[in-house]
Amino acid sequence: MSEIKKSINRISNLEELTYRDTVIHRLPPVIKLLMTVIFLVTVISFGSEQVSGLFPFLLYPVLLMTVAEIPMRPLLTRLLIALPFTLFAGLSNMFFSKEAAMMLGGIIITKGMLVFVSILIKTILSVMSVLILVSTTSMNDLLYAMLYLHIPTIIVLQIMMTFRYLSVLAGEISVMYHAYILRAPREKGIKLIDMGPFLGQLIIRSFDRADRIYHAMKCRGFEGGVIFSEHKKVRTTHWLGLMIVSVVLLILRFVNLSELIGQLVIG
Amino acid sequence: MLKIDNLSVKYQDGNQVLRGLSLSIENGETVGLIGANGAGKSTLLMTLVGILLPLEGTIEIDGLLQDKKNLRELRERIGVVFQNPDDQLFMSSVYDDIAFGLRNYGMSEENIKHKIDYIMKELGVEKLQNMSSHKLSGGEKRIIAIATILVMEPSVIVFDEPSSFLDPKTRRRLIHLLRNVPMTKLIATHDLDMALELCDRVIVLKDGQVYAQGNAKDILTNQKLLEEAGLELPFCLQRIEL
Repeated sequence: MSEIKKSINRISNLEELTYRDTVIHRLPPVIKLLMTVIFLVTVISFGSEQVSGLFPFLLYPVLLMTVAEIPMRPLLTRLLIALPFTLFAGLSNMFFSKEAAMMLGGIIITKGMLVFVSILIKTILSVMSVLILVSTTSMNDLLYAMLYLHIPTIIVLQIMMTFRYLSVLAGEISVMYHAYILRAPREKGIKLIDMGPFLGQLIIRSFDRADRIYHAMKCRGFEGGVIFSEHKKVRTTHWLGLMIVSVVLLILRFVNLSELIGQLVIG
Repeated sequence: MLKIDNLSVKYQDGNQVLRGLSLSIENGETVGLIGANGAGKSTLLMTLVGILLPLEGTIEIDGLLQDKKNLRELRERIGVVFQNPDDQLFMSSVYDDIAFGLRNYGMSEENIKHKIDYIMKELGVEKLQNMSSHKLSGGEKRIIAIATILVMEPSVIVFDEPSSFLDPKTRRRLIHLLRNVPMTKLIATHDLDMALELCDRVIVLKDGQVYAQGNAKDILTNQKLLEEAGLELPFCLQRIEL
């Protein structure tokens, strides 16, 4: 199976996780979306050298994954895709910022090291929280949540279409790539000289396919609206739950729990 | 009842595909639409649902005359099963794909669930409900594509090459399925054996016009007529020398 096909399957594997029935899955999508946004803002708001304060936030993905019964592997695989970018960004700090920040067991910890670890933890937390959100909430539900939060319909519609057409486009690339490779068995990929016509054909084919899909949609009454499942009702208890989580996150943001525990242990 | 009168369709590039085509189909009838490539089968199907608009002529479904303004209402009465099920299955799950049309017409989620449960049970594909459409086999995709239309309960269903991409066993399953579909059916196909088995009547198109029409057996056993229309006898009637 080609890499393109594998990528399509990876997208749908994550989507299939949303059909589980756990407390987290049953939460209204608006609450989950807001919770994720609040978590992300809190994590990002930490300074570039504030590392210890971030550690308690690692509990968030662990806790949610446990309750939502999300397997580790599919999420970690996707996390690994994001990590190399972070590593490059973080490593450059280690070389350019060598000013000592603290001593840890006789080892000098530079500011660059702290920034590197901080970027790394922030990436892990951000990517994991978004992955958990999409593993527990279907795309339709997420789109509804966006509308509920008054994000303009045109933007929500664009997100919906992009998501739908992603697999269609990948399918077209896969078919064309196979047709190319079968007639160019000595090539490892598409030659640069053939790339222009290949991409041109891809655009034309994608337009044709999109046209047919649009016709099929029109034939079933599509008039440009956003199609989604009827929303789950947001109860007062849900809002209360969101407030509690937000308060806990804010406390963790301003009270360094790791430092407190360290002081208690060391004395 | 589906009634087409003096229908002409011209593409933007000036190519006129349908030329004064007239036909009518009674309620509950199963009609095969056959013809060589370019005869106008797909153009006719696309015009029926208002994807293409006629140059002249009229289309009437159950007394509703097709008009730019009532296309939405018209599409509630006539459903299309496209040739390639991948064009018809675009939502994230089979359930959402089947629910798509019903949601567009404002049905409540409770009713949608009830209808989907019923139709999937009828078609024997309940287990596929939560699967991603692109993970289905060719035969499953075809059945789900049909389910997306059946669930909307239109009075007429048009099928564009329903047996294409199917292996013999799945094709047989499809024939059984179509036989049990109670709505009026217009089946555009090159599969003349299927048309012979399934259709009450067959309409032969040639150069955008009705070349011949009549009882399926009479038309599909008439070798001269079929050859004049750029076709040949169904495989089951051809003498094969081994």
